[in-house]
Amino acid sequence: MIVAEYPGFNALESEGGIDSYRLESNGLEVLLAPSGAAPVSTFMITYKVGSRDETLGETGATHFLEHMMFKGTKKYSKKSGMTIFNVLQAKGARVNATTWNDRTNYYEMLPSEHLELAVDIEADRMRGLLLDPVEVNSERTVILNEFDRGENEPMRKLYHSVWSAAFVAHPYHHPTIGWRKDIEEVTPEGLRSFYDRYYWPNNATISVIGGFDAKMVMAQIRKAFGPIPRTEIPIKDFDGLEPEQRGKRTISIRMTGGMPTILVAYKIPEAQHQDIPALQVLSMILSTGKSSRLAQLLVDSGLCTTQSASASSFRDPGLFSLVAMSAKEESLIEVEKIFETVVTELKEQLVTQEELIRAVKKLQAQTLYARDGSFSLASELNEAIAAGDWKLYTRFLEMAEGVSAEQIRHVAKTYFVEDCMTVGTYTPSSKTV
Amino acid sequence: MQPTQLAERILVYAVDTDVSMVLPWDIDSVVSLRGSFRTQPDFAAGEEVIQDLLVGMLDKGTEKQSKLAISALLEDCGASIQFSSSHLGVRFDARCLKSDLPLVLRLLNEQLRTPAFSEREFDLLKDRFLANIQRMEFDTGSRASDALSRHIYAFNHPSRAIPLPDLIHKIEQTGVEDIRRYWQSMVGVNHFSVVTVGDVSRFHPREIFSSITEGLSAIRFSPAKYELNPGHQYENQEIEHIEIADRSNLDVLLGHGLPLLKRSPDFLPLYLSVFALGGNFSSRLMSTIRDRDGLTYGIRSSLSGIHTKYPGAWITNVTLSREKLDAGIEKTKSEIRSFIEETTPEPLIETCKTTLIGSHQIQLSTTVGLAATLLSNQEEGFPIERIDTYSEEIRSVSLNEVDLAKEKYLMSDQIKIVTAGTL
Repeated sequence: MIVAEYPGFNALESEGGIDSYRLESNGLEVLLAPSGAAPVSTFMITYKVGSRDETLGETGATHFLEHMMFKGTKKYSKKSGMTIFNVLQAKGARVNATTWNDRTNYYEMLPSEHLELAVDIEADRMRGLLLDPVEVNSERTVILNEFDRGENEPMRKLYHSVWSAAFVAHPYHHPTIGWRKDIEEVTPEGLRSFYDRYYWPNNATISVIGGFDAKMVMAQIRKAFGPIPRTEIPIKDFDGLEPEQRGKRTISIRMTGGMPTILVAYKIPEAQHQDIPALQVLSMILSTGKSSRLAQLLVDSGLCTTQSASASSFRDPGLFSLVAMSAKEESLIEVEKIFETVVTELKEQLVTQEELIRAVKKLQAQTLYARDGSFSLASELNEAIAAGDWKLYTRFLEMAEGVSAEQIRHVAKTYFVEDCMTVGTYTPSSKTV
Repeated sequence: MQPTQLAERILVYAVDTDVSMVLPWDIDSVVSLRGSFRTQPDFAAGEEVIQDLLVGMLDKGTEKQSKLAISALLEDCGASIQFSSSHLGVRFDARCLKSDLPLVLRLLNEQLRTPAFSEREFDLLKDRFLANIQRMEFDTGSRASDALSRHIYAFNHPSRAIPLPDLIHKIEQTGVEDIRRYWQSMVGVNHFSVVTVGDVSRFHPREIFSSITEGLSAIRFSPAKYELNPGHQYENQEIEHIEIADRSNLDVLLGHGLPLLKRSPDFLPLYLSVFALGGNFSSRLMSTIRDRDGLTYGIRSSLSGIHTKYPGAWITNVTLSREKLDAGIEKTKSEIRSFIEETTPEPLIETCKTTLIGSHQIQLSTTVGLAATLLSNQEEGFPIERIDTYSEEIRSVSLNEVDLAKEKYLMSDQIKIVTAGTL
């Protein structure tokens, strides 16, 4: 139940110490999370647009646009003598932005007395982006260099290749940075079109977290964002687009350097699906901590140097990934067999109560750790907003606490099936240094 | 809200050069603990490798309990303990809920005092170290940085990287008995510092200190000296290139040594100057080489490895795609040269000051950040009050001091350049 009310906003819900509001004039969602003991806050705006919203030929547009958002507006640009980085960093702010499958977020972590500046900048660039062609060209080479940096990393290549193989029609097929040719050919007009489709208040959520004066910041948000109109946002419904996978897919990557690695991935449902908490608890049982199953079977045995298991939590169906890195290429076959054995055991036997309790205890502690300062909570909220509902964050712990051993066996049986499996291997080629 | 003066709220227990601090913070249940003690590896003999291996063995079980038993105890309450090697010291940090702090303290003590040194665990650890080297061989950033360090630092300097083949040899030759001997001579109460921040009002710094150090001996070392290589006139000399296949993005490092210690009055002025050059997105190099010329995704310039006990370096790091390599290096050199020759504009330095002061404030907004800041102040011999006075120290640096420090220490003709990647 929300106690506080603010002029111009409709109070929506309150949960887990977070209050949500909607700006009456244009539908902008605002989350307030007073947190921490210091006069420092994180101001974050999450746009519900990511590489999921790109079509063939415009891959990488979301990420390119994220870069261009720092090139500024009439008010904040090189020409005006006030670039966004300059004015914010001059106040000691940590400033940056990130792009991923389902969202783009811009954030400023700064002394709370300067929150109004962050509000003003984000409101100004929501609709006032310049997209100067000269700047677009200059930024293109910056992004191509970022692309090349990613290409240097074998693990990133393997990850992208597995997602590309697992999803043939859904846009999760392409990497968020885009394909090189699309980056080379993007135009200011193309970026403008993308910007005009998605950068509107009713496609965004503001999160304010930390030690701030709520009344003051809400007045600042209303003043800065209130006059911006709403628009129709294109709805991308990919339900039924991805053809059913009917058989194991395999891919292999070779380049010089790096460690032999195997990534085994199974299709799993979207973040809001009821089975996701069980899959996430399962990932902890498999790989978090030295006592986890894979740590003991793979790392303790000396077969591998690192291992991990993780369940994606995206707006649309994603992947449950098992990863292991070994010093020896020939060990990868054995690792794949161990993965198979582990998966079979999960389908046939219940995980122990000890394992379940341990996983939940870790999650309980992590939830409290996330309240240390403002940024970690902002990061958690960002992914929940992107997946479709900020309450996915506030409700997660309770849902995880309710996961039973039977549910874990159920999700293992349901999703860990060979026909929905993609296996990727990375092996270093023999070229010399 | 917390009061402005943090130092007044810190409970301190200090004996000789050892200290324990407790800062109660307004957060539910969470406790962050950081600490360290001093060591003195013989760097010329490659002893930092022994220290790295020792640190890797500290969480691999004790005489009483196996690695898994300890892990299970910590994981059952969502707590963690980690050890790390930091040249002239070993650090530990822990995170837990307040009810579990006594357990964490007991385990920390047990891990430091009675490590098991199992042969099997040691072999596994060596394999992991060797695998990491296998990965580093193709990492452009690591390779360029290691090569530059050997130009800058003398053999006995903590920041001089051991060549990878020597590193492999050293790891292969080291036995668990070498690690035990090193532990016996280095792990003890010597400039032992512990900082605990969070929901800790019922804990006393003396209790925390005693719990961790119980049974550890006092150790003292004779002072050692750490040196730079002599500076060279590198301008117009050949660039050192490390060829690594399949790496179309190259890491480029430009730098030279700095005969300067952390407590020197020149340190903060020089720090401000280099921050203005390449400290963040607003800096000279980012706004020209990236923002204006579009040559790179990232370029930074910073003071590297300067300690109260040993001098460090000034290093600029730029990442360049192959087709932009020559232009990128030339533009970077030219921009650095101009920066050194020109008088620094006062508004630029004033902006840098407010940036650093704001960053300090942000750093102090989490229990982890507070503990890290208090520990590093303590390790560097600054008074506890520095957590409150640091901003004023920054504010009081004059433009003249910044320009004098720049003129005295930054030499564009002594910059050595190293590149790594595929040409």
